[in-house]
Amino acid sequence: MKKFFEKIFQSKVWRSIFRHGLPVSNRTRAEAVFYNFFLHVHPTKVRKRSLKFTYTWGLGGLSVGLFIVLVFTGALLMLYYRPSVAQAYWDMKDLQFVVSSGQFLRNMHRWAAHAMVAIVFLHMMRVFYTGSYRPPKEFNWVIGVMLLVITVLLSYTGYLLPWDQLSYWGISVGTNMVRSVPFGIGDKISFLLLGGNSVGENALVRFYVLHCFIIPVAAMVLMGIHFWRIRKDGGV
Amino acid sequence: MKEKDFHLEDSSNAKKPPKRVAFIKARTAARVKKEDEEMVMTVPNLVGREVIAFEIMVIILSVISLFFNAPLEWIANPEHTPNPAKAPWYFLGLQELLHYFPPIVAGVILPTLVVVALIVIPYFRINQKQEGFWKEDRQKTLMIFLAAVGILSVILFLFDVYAMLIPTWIMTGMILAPYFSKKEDGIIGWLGSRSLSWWVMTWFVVIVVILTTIGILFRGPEWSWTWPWHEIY
Amino acid sequence: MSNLRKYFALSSVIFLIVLALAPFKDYFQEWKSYQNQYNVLVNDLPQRVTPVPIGIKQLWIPKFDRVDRCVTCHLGMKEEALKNVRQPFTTHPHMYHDVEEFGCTFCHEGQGSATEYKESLGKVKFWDKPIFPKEFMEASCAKCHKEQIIPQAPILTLGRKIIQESNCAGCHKIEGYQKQWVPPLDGIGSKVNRTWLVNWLKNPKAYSPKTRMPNFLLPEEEANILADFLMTFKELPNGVTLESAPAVLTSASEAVKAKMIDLGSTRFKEARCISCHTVNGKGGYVANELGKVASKDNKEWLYNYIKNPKHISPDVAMPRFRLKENELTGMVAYIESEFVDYEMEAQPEHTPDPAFYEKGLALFKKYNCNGCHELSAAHKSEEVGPELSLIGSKKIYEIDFGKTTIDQSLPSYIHAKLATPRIFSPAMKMPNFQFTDEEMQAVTVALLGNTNETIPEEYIVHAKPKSTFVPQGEFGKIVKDLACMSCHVMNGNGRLVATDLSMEASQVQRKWVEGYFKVPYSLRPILTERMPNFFLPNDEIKTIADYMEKVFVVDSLDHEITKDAASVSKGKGLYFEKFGCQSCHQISGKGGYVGPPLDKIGSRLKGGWIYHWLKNPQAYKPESIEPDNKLTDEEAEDLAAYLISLK
Repeated sequence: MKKFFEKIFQSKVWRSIFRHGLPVSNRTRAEAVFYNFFLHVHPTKVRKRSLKFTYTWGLGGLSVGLFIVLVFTGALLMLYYRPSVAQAYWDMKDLQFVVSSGQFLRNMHRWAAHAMVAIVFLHMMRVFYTGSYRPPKEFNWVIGVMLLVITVLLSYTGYLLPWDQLSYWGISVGTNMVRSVPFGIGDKISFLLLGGNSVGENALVRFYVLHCFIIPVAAMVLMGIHFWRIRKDGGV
Repeated sequence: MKEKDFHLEDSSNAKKPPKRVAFIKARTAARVKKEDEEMVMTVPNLVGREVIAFEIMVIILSVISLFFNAPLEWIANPEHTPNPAKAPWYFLGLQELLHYFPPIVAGVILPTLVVVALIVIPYFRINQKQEGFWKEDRQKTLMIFLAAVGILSVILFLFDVYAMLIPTWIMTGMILAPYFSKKEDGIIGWLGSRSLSWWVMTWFVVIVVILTTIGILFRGPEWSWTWPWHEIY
Repeated sequence: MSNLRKYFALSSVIFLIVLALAPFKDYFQEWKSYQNQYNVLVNDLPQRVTPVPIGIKQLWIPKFDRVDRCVTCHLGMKEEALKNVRQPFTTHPHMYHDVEEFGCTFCHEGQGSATEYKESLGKVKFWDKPIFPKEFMEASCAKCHKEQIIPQAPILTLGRKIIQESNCAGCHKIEGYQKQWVPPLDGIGSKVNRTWLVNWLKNPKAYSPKTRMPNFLLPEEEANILADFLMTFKELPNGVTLESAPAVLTSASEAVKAKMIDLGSTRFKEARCISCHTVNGKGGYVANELGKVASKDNKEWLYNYIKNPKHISPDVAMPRFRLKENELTGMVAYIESEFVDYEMEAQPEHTPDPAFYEKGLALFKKYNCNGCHELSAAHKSEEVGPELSLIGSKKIYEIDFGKTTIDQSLPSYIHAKLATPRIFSPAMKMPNFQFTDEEMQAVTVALLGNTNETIPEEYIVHAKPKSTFVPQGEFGKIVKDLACMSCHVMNGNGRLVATDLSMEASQVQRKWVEGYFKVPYSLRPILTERMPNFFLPNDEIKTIADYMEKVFVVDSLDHEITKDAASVSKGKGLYFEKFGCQSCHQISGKGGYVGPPLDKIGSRLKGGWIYHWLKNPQAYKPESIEPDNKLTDEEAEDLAAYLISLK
């Protein structure tokens, strides 16, 4: 058995995919990080201190994890969802009643989204209380604040998509707040967001595109920078 | 320098970081680390933990998702505003503010101020010294502090924002406690060692949590005070 | 490090198990179990019923924008063999519409997209159209059927009739219903007495159980103020003045009076007043109760009204009887002596509130009395109740159930509102119509049917456009004076209590018509509504007969019937042997009671009409129960020949 696996791990095909061997020695362990696209964001070695759970509470990592869950469930949900006033709500019903595990997917997406807003906020508090924004990480803190705003926006744009009373009036209340920005700017922003003066078909499409493409891409770019800077500043 | 300080790293012992020669440029103060930090391999120590954390998170999420359905209310009806019409929970703190202050203040000025304040934190050397609040010039600090709290209280009182006023006063008491008591240890000592920025941030978080909680649980028709066990519909 | 590995292994195993739970939960769904049960069930049946492949089934009805998955579990709907099996597999009872074309929820409501029992009933939070209880099902017919009478939906038909007759449109805007005529209140002070009025306002049904006036649940004080206010309106509309009642009515001696009453009583019966009016609850439903009318109306008003009803109320459906002066006086004397309410509650001594007029006017407006009654002091009101045109689409969250504990659904809301109009808030002003349970159900059904659903035009069955036919000339004047159209239909216009007169001259013989006005006997003795005797003079009868012969004729109904003995006897054979007509019709006292007796029919009907009628009765009267015996031309001719020989 063991030999069989060893044979596979040493086969040409396997080695063409994973250039390093099994992480058994420090060398191969380092290579596993070094040669792996997903892991290379990490250094090959980390300070033992930064592994301490009660220092970071893993909040940053959990935020990424939630983001991954959201992207995954979100992509699946997109298969069943049509952003139109006539269909959106009924697609929710279909998810509930006929799509295999559709309700489960939607639940995951919804709860993960709520959790992400909370956890990103907690992450920010942790960074503040541990003073981890001190030079040279000032700008990374700023990016973090942007990511917090983006997380809230992601959650908020998704809130409209089920097109029920909750979402409709949740969004109406929010955009009415935006309208109070003076000098007519608020009205302009609100018009831009909604594609009109009230929440309707246009708003639904805009929120859909924002939710599924524009904001996630922005989040991913900022996340890339955020992690890269953590790494460069000596973090994990 | 001793000869053995120069030998090159030749072991694969990850626990011992390689020693390096440092070129110290002029006009830069050399700071010598007290001791080298202990390092561990990323694989499996960090990656393993990350995977476990992720898995536990997905497990918790899945279990919640199996038993609690995401809400789906009546189909959107532009002609009927629910009473109250609530924004998503993370905006309920803001909506609660909107109940007290004019929309321009609650909806625009305060949120903008908060975001700006958050952004500038690292640039103003805030909290970088992390010195206790009463460390320097106690009299002057007290005057400024009381003036600030006074102005804030008057504003909050004028707008009937008792939900913010009361926690503000409680925290004021907590800040003032170390001023009057000279105790260096225990809770008071700990409070005394908190810096200004720590207090500001904590005050902000407390207010956010309180306002959001009120917005989620205690607001009913016409945004009136309603106990959570009273059904809205 | 081995600890980390252990945790990793443990968490990974739980992770995989939990992820597998979701599809696992999905696999054990309610509907799958029902489909399996169905397949077991049909296997055990003696008849051959095909089992179903497991999977969600649905009816997609794009034109109504509905997807109904009820058929996922209701699998035996069209299988006759499953008549007696348990739900959800039972055969559907008679269906008026094809389920493939209309789906399920179009009629039943409920949540069609659901695949779980509870959800599909729609009695869940956030679903506003739960499945219709059986007793309200007919509401769905109303979505498409806008016609007056829907034979398959008797409850709906009744409900619409009640809404129309109860004058709901007086206070509520409600599409498809017009305001009914109700007596104007100007002049009421010259008509009724105050005691009666107070009692009436407090409870109209106590005076006349059949009245359409609802009970406004007025407190004593409001009833008094309103009565004081109304009694001030002594002047009749349009400047009409009342003649004073003949002095004989008061001054005559007892003997003369007895004679007057005797004459009045005879005329009252001859005129068949109770064809339209009830007397202590017995009589026709067309007009109002007379049993206690002498305690309500004063004799002056009675005299003037019977003399010429239209002079006082131009729109009233009361005919002007051609009574002579002494007959009129007798009639009033008779009414005064006979129709007295001996139990009328006397009103205590009462000093009017100094501001009774202003307060009364305010009350009059508050209760929207002018929604139904005209009164010069209060301008015609707008509807004050909420519009009811779309009430069937009212969402649960738009309904204020107040502090009631009734079932939170639209049908029970409407039902409760009708039963106890102010149940949801004491501030409501809706009066109590005191409907019976059956009536309440019918009204609820009719109201529930007023939805905002968009139905493709081709599915809508429109009400027939109302004919505006009004006869003109001398005949027209008589028709108006006698209010013929309150009972008869002419060319599509009028109220069908008695016969449709549009083809009358092709159906009956002139001689019979002329005789009929002299002594109008009833063709069907079992009916309450009988033709009154108007005591018409000959020239008016001639005008009527002339007009009918010119206008109420259908040429195609002409058919020469040869009256030779051979065909008469052949017809007699057909009547008694082949078709057994005697089972419903009487000749010389022998036969059934279902149809009208046929004695002397030869002096009444025209042969051509009998011929055509026999060949296809429903062509002329769709609701007739006369069987269509598919007679040949010859059989119809013979039968007609026999019938017109019965002189």
